[in-house]
Amino acid sequence: MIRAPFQLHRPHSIDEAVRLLSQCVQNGEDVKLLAGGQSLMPSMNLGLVAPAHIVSLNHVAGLDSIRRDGDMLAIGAGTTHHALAESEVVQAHCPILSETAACIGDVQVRNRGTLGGSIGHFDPAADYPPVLVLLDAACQIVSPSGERTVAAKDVFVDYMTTSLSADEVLTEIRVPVLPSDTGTAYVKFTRVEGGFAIVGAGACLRLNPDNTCRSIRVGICGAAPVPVRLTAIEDTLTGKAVDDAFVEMVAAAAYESAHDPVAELHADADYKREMVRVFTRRAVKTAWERAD
Amino acid sequence: MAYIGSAVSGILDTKLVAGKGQYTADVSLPDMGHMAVVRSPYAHARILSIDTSAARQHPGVRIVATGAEIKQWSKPIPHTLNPSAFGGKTADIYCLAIDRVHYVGTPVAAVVADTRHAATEAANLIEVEYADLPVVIDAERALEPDSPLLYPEWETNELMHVRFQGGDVERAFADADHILDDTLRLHRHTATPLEPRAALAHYDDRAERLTLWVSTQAPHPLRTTLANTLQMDENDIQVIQPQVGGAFGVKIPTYQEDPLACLLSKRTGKPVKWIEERTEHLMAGGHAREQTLKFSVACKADGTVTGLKVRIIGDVGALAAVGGWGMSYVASFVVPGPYKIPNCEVDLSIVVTNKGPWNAYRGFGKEAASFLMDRVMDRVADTVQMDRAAVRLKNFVPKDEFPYVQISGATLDSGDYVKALQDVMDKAGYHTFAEEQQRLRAQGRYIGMGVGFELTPEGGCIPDSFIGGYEGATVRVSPSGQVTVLTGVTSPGSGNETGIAQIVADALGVPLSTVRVVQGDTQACPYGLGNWSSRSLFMGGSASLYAAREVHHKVLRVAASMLEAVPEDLNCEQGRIRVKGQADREVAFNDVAEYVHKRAFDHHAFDMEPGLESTRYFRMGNIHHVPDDKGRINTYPSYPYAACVAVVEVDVETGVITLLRYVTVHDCGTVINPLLVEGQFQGAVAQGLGGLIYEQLSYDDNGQLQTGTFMDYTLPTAVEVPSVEIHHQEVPSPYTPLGTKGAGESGVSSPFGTIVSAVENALAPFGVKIHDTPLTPQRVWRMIQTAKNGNNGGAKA
Amino acid sequence: MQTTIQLIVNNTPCEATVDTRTLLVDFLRDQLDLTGTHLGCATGNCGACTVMLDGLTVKACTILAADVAGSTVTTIEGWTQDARQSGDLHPIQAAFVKHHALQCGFCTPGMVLSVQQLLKEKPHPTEAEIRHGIAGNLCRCTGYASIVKAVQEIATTTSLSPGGRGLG
Ligand SMILES: Cc1cc2nc3c(=O)[nH]c(=O)nc-3n(C[C@H](O)[C@H](O)[C@H](O)COP(=O)(O)OP(=O)(O)OC[C@H]3O[C@@H](n4cnc5c(N)ncnc54)[C@H](O)[C@@H]3O)c2cc1C
Ligand code: FES
Ligand code: FES
Repeated sequence: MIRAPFQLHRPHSIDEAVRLLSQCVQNGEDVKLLAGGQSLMPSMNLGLVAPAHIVSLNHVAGLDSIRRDGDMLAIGAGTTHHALAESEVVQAHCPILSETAACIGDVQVRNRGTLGGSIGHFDPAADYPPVLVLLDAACQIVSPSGERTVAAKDVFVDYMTTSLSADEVLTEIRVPVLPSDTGTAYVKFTRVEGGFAIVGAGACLRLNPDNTCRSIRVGICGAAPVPVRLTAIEDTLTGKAVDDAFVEMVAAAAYESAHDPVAELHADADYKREMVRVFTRRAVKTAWERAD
Repeated sequence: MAYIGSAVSGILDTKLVAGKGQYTADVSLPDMGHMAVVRSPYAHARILSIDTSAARQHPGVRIVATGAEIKQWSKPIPHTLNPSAFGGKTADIYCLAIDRVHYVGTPVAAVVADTRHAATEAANLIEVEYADLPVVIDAERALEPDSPLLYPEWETNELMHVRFQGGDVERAFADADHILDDTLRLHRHTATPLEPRAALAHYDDRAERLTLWVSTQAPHPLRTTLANTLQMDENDIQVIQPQVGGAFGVKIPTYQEDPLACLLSKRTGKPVKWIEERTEHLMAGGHAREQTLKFSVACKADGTVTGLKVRIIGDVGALAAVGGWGMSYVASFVVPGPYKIPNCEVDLSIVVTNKGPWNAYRGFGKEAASFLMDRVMDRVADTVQMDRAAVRLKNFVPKDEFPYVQISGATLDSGDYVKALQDVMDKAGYHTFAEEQQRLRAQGRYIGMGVGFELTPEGGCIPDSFIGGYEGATVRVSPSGQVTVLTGVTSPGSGNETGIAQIVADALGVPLSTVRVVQGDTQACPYGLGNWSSRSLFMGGSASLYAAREVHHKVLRVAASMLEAVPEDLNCEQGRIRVKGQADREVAFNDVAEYVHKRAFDHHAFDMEPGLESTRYFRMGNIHHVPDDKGRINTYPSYPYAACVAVVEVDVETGVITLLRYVTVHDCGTVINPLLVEGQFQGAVAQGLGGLIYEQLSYDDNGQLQTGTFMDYTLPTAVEVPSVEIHHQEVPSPYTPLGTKGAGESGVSSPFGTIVSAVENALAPFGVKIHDTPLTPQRVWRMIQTAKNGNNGGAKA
Repeated sequence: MQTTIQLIVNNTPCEATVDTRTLLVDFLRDQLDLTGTHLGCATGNCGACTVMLDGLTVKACTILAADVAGSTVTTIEGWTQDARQSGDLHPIQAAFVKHHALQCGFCTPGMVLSVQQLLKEKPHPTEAEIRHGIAGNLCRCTGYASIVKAVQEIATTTSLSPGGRGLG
């Protein structure tokens, strides 16, 4: 049950939503955007957050579109995990994103929760952020002063903190159309089915005809308060033969990168680091199997 | 017997599957107020002051209460089990804390308002000033002389000390070939049924009567307790149990919120509703299991266990009136379970700490005894280098030695443990498993098989308490031949209403659809003790059988007169009473019923007491409360058991355990309905598995609960729980009319020992030994690392 | 703060005034007396509050009543009525009863709705797909085996001919 009263706003356009947000901000009143509610509502039911205003995005039309725009896919922030998982366009051109969407929570959570909400809420254990970072996704943000585009890696700035300010709305996420020979995989480690990731790892791998690495990208959640991308090693791996030793090298790099994992009750820092190694290994292996 | 033994569906299922069950939260009354409870954020503190002025001013607020008022308005809540009756310490528990809080979640104040929102808003306005007291959350630390004390007047944190002893233990140890010691630890977890607790109290000022709708397992004892607490006549109280959404023990006792809601209804003259939140439930709804089990075992080289010393330290949290500490007592009472170990001693300390109070949870301590004995047997087997199952087979109480009296007085009724274990080994492919294991190990996969055995004493009967070994039932036939069964037992979803209907339908020879079972209403049902300890069907069903037989006897007398036959020659099936072997001489059951009611003075019914109704009580014949020559009493009349085999796979990179198979041979005596029994067993295994691997109530050093929601208190889903392969071994109880034993609780205990054994077996190449639960991936992974790094010689990956 | 909403619940248009704080689950239970939807956790974990919102299953404790203005909500009560022809049980419910796929019944309405969603998307699910499909619904009583069995039976015995008596 929600304890503290609040005012609910149901704008019909993004502009109106932004205007409402900035009004609240100017008045010094606490305001939250509401999308699928799968993170916000449990927090409010538990009394962990108690905004004075809620601006719902559920009455703004068109926020849930998925379309191909040249070599990019443009995905509305209001797209549900379910829609993303089932989207044929996404399955065909960015399968890692639909695979990720399909492993979030459970059926009901996926039917309601949104891509934008997951980014806006930014739980360090959330599944999209590492994948968006590895895809070099771009986030389209509308603020009172206009529109801006921010790279995913610059959105996730710190533990449960994004670079969005309280009067901004994320409207669209753009991810690249992946070449069809890309092998991709997202694997996650949870305590029970439907739970948040203790560790999640995503990998995209392309091979040269001689079975050497054409490109590799790896993104990990659980390794640190923000998603970890193995940028340092990704380039150096280009041209290397892809074999078990290769996989192990990536896994070892992932382990090294997990310098500051968020310890949890059932997963302390040491264990998490080790799991980062294990799940990165599994993600890369699967991506390799799936690469043509 | 048309129905007994057959897999008929639950008689409530068609209603429940359509969402038409009425649970307590679904009951509403005009003008009812809503109660919110203020709880302590501290684990141990003195209450210095409570300022309720702002709350009282808040719009919609009807009443605000604190410990001070409660003490004026009511008496302490009688303990479900009073520790002082067992030679222990005790304390008065009121509906709200009086001046001290002992755990996070202790209720300290309450508000009733027009709406739930108003009530919680007002609750937030109550300012409680606390003075921190030092916290002790570890039971062994709590036993040290310089530990902070929860109840200073006790001068100790030991609630109770108990010893059971039999035979010549020292001699057995002196003569042993091997002596092994170990310490096991079970962690804290809880039943947490899907329906939270709920109550709707209505004190009717004009009638001066109180009605309480409540999610409870034991309405009659609750009524008696309320009468005591509220200082009312029992006659003026009616307790009604609507549909209950799962209970598993936690809804047996009287909680503080039950009389609290009643009191506030009485003070406001209007109904008061309270629905527990999940967070409240996990803090304060009652915990279980957390115990340290130390053992020292003496055995011969051939695997015969000759002596056993056990020390149990039960960490029961703070004291409440709900009697959960009794589970640790039962753990010690049940040792050494199904084994014949005549030289045995058990030393038990029940210790209070600044954590949530224990409350009953399916298993009720038997799971601890079962885990302990399974570990003892595994250790002995490993030491004498025998098969783990073979050691159990060697030490079981033989089938020709029943009734067998254990050192505590526990008198095992009947069974064939050897056959049960042998059968389950056959069914599970125990003898050929090693090949499969080797084959997969070559592929880097670690699978393991474990055996376990749970003895689950049922129908507990404790002197001078409402935990009793008898039950009552009424069977009533209406003029149209419809049958009503009113029972003292209740069903929180365990299905006994269906089993009882089957028994009564068979006893009367009527269609099941004509039998209605009414439970959980103190105004309608005969006095009975409710549902717990798997007693409902074997005690309540037996009472119902007696009552039905009496009515049946009358029906046959009248029918015999009508058919010009003798009752012995009649047979009633599906509502048709026939002279055996003569199809044309028949009369309908309904017609006889109508006759008895309408024509009590006509010749077929003239020489008989009118009415078609009987109330009968059944008591277990093998409960002994008069101590025997060794001072022992027997508090359990029924000893169902289950022999189990588990197959697991361990991901050695992560420590994740997957339960692949769970196979059991289960004896609960005569099976009235396999669908119900198997459903109970499967659900129990899921809870045992959940407790072993996924669920944990974890506290930090300040006594703050870290797992207070379902986000962190993770219950297993359909993905984690495999379907259990259940086989029945029916050794009828000699002490019940149909041979039934307790069923429903069984299955929750064996996963601890069985799965742990399987995990050790899977990890044998590393030499992992398991002493503690839960088996979270991190802990299993760490066990593997430690074993790998250790120089125990077994560490070959 | 109060607000007025219009929506369709179980095929019936309705207008109501709600506190903005009111969760969909509480609105259905307290204001519309549709008590077949249950509340078990309020954190989106247990699934006891599962209803259909515009044709998809959702957890009604994670949704504001005031935010679903204009939507269509179906609860177990409405679904049961829709699914019933000539007063008998829907095949899913009948299979639940046959296999005693419930004990206390508290999780059951939500579980039934999750099963219908699963079968609508995958008429012939494997055991693993069944288990994943109902993972958002916790059952503390049954240990799930009987539920899985019931779904397996429906998936093999019920024909889903378009226009015929489907599972929707
Ligand atoms: C039982 C359960 C299991 C879950 N399991 C997982 C899991 O395994 N993996 C996982 O990643 N997540 C999981 N989640 C969280 C889920 O994915 C949420 O859907 C997601 O985190 C939030 O999305 P939402 O649309 O529901 O956002 P909301 O809850 O509505 O909003 C969350 C936050 O984001 C902000 N926000 C929303 N939309 C925007 C926008 N367009 N622009 C800017 N800010 C915005 C809001 O202000 C709010 O603070 C789980 C949730 C539950 C209840
Ligand atoms: S009550 Fe909604 S998921 Fe538990
Ligand atoms: S039947 Fe009780 S929770 Fe599922």
